[in-house]
Amino acid sequence: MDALSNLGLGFDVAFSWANLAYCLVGVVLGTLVGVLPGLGTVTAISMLLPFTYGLDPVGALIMLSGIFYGGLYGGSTASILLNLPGTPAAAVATLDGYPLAQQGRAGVPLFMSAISSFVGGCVGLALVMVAAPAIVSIALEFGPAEYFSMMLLGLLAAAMAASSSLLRSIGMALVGLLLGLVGMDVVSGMMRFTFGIPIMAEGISFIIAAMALFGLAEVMTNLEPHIKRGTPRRIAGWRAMMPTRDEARRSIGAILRGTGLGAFLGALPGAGPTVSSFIAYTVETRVSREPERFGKGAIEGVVAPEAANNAAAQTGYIPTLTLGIPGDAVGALILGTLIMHGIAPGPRVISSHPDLFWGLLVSMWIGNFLLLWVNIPFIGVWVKILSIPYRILYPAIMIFLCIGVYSVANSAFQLILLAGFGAAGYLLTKLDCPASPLLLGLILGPMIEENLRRALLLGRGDPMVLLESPISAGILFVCAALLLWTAASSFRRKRDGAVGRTESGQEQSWNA
Amino acid sequence: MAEMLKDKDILTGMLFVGIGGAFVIGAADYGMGTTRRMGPGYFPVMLGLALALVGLVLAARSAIRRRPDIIGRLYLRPVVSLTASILSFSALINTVGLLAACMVCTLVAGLATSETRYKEIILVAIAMTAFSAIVFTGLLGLPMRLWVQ
Repeated sequence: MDALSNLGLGFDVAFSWANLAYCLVGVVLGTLVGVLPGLGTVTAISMLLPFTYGLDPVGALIMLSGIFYGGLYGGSTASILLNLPGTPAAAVATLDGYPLAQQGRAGVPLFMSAISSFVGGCVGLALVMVAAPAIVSIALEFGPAEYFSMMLLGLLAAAMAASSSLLRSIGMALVGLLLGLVGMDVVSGMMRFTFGIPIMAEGISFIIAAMALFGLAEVMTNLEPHIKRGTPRRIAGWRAMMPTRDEARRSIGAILRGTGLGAFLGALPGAGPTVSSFIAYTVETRVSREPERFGKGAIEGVVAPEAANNAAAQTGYIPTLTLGIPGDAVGALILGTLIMHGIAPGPRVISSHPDLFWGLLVSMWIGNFLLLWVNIPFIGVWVKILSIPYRILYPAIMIFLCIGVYSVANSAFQLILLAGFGAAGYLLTKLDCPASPLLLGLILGPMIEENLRRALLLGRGDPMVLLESPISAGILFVCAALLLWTAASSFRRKRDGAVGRTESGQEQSWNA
Repeated sequence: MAEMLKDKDILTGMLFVGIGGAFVIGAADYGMGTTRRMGPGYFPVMLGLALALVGLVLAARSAIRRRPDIIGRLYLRPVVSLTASILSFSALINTVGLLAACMVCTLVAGLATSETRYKEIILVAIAMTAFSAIVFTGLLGLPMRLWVQ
């Protein structure tokens, strides 16, 4: 009965006019940025974060989440029509979606990817509703040692997923942790690394870092003269969208496999929508009886990854909302939003803010319905938007970045930080250093330090305290196993020759 | 040897060593404390050392392997123009106001690529300025003055 009353509360919150409006705005904006290549969901969420400051926390989360999963729906559009992924998670949709478009059947993958996204999203959501409260009941027992280990695992997993060069990712996570320490030390009240600038006492805002690394640095990269952009071809009406009977039959299994895989992977820290979509594609090529059809327009190659990334997007909320440990950059931004609104992340979020948790879940469910309507009948509109040239788009992005950063603290100094971080971010991209571990480290930095200090204080300075609790010891064991496994597999790859090099370059750009 | 200096791993390694080292030096005066009662300097020093170590391993591994992966060309035009565009916004927003800041920011940003067309960028600048004034200060009520009083 408890679950029913919680759902009831969720419906009350999500169906208020204001929240319905935030949800609609979020999913439409999400579809828009998803459709436009060169403007990713992480960029869009970080750009709009400052403007949600004035909303109540539920409204802010509903809108930002809408951008996130809306972007996943929209992301496949550019992949299919232009062979250019609108978002990293939609990169796989190019493999079989674009060949279908070249055969003049673009409507079919577009329609089917909306349907499979819907199935994946809804199943993922249902899983969050069941699993999150269960995980919370375990997590409430956590002490500082368990928290420290959990966050370490989260960082490590995110680092592993972000780039194939583990040392780079770990280095970036460490840079993020260090930057997170800038400002006033919560224990001693001492100012650290502020260079005597008063506004630095509050630390480096994650919003500015996100806008610089995912917004500004991305615009800089997109403006490199060799980047080429295509224009989409027209697609015909409703009838061209219907799959053949054979395709529909083959899609069912693929959607279900993709959904299951995505839902499982998404709940693990580090493996977000992008990773899940790639794995789902690989699985489809393995289970298929005719693997040679893949890459030439097999519908399974479109629907399975699309179902997987949407399911993963939803279950990704489990670690973020129950443990306060974000799985990827978007999770980090959602967590940052909670902190920004004065809500301490962790297992108490659901019990102390039930309206927020259940309202958000129900609104995401509504959002998935809205997205079907936003995407399928209006597909022509989105195709038209695809033809807006980037030279018009990017100055508008710049204005959003400037006003957004300025409004965080009404200080011009933050804009200088934005410019500096942006230029640094461009250099880091050139060095293949992934930005998401840095962002995660920046948000987790103060919390990791605080929990480590408390754990060691309780353990009288003996680091073994981290291994005394079975949960903490187990998590640290998983960390060590992950590290060893990655080291061993990278050693094997090196032995196999230089092939790994080009592969790693590709993975890098997909995950950036 | 000159080739190796442009290697991505070596450059990244040096960058990590530099950042880690800077934090270690900066945190040295903050007080280390003991493991039981960590001072404000303890955690940053540890992280900084770890970062420097990661950097060293990354650089050393690549130096031993001797198969340089050269860094791609850095395009200064977008970096410089966009940085200038943000700095001009930051200089104008408190002194003159939003309208000037938006106009100049957009126009300077336009310098970032040779694809920009004069008439188009002026129209974009006017449109974005009007949009910002209406949406951000009008509808969202962000506290920014439009023009110097």
